[in-house]
Amino acid sequence: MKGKDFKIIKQTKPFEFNDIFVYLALLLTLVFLFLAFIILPKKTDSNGFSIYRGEHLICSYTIEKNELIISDEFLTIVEHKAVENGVEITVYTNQNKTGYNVILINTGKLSANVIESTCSSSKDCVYSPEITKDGAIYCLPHGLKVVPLKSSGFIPPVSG
Amino acid sequence: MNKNTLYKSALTGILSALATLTFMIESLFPPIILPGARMGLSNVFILFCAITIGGKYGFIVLAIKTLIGSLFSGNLSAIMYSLPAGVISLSVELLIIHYIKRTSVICASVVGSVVNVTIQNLIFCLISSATEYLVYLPYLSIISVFSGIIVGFTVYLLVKFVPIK
Repeated sequence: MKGKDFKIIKQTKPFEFNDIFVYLALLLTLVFLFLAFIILPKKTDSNGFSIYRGEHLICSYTIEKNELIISDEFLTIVEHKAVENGVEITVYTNQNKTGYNVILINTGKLSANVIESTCSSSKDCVYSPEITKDGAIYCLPHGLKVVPLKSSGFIPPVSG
Repeated sequence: MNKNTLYKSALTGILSALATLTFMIESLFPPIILPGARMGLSNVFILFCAITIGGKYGFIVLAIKTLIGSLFSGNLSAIMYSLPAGVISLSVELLIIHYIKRTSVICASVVGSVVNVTIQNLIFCLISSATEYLVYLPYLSIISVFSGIIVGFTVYLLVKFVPIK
């Protein structure tokens, strides 16, 4: 089947008749996506955040108890301090403290985000939106992952 | 090489350079939500090439833009999820334009934009085995609809008013 000639395409208007069906199919897909990923999945309130390097848990912070638990092997490269709206946790990449990420956990809004980093020129982790009960922040150059506590990854809606 | 092929090759080269340039300038902007997802303005040149000269030249522009653009902007890992997403979205756009009657260029561009962003997100989740990023899929799709409309309208104006022999 040969495709349309260029001259025919040149004649098309910005909105043609069959567009409606394609847009409708697109709208249905978007609605399905919203239902599957946002409205239907089980909602659990976040009660804290965990910070991983790859698969190893560096530390985890529980908001209501206001306690920070740091794994033994990472004790020397994690620093924390309390600020007016939460806790700031600084995770260094190695013992010489050449690189770092600063994660702010906001106890008022129950959210976490990376506020400072030495990873790369684009600083994807700093520009990632803050996470509350689901989602994750990744700093790929440093292998860092910040996730809400009690999350076993994405929980899909139960289909029956 | 006859004159027609020479003309097409030269035009492909110019459009590839323009697409690579827009891609590199876009990558200077901070990313929205997902690292690596950009506004996709370089799709204007890819779609324009595919419509005016032919489908396979469109794929050539896409390959050059992805490979050289990622290389020069220092983001080599972008090739991994940009290239398959671009190929699939361009194929879908060309299918809609050529084989579904009475559809406009804008419609094809919107669908291509959504497909592009969705596949990029899926590949990113697969590669970093992080299912948490799937949550951003609906929001990214809505943003990509708007960018698809802008790209589609630009291509419509180019196709209508730029004289091509």
